[in-house]
Amino acid sequence: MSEKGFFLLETIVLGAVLLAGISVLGAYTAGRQVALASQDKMTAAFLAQKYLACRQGEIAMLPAGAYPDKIIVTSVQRNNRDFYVETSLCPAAPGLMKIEVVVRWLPQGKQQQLTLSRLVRSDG
Amino acid sequence: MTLLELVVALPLVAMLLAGLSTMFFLLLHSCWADISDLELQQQLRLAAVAVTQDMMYADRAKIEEDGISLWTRSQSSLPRQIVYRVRDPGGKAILTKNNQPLTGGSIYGDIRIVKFQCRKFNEKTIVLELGGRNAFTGKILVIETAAVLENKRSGGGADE
Repeated sequence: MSEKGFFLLETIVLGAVLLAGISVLGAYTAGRQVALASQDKMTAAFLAQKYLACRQGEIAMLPAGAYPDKIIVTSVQRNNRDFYVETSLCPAAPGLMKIEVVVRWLPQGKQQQLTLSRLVRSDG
Repeated sequence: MTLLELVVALPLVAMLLAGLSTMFFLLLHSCWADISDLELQQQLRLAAVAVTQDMMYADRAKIEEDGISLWTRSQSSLPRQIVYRVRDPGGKAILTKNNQPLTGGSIYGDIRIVKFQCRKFNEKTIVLELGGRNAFTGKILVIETAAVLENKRSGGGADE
């Protein structure tokens, strides 16, 4: 006890306290990123539903014999994020068309994408 | 421990504690703000899903300045009207469905509706824009979606 310096126990306790502090900060940062990612995903999902519904409505209102554009690409900015939306149409079966919407966005330079598709009657 | 050591150590400990407690309260505030923003996200999501689901099963829709009226058929085939409106009780705008609140304040945050706009894309499709603001953090979130009136064949459609 009379020797100078730190005991092993003191060092371990200090290490544990520092580790706990860093873990709390790390967990908080990770949680924040998850929350932001979930916000982007929700915005993308609703955007995809919008374009899906618009294409479906477009097909439903087309005059007989008319054919809609096969691929439409657009970009929109929502909630401080740029989203790139691509909608495509293809015949799936007689009297049925498949609408596919792909939404892409780049959170922190890493591409994320969400795809929704729906089968609709091509005769309206 | 001498008096000098105590005089030096006490302010150091006080500074350390002050720094740690500031960090703790800042972190607590940020956590609370994040939870509050999640509440905004969830309230808008639920409201948008409710409106689009009702649109999908509507025979007819009437777009109004501060909301939308939808007519659906219940199991007994009697027409039922569903009215979504933005109400402003005491400067805190909330979205209501048949006068029942869909959004608003909760223990997690004070959510106010800043935008509720429906517009016709075509005879069968309505585009919905729903925006909310978290009064605690000032964060604004906007959801844009659309729905097709699937039951249009039975007569009606989207009116403005």
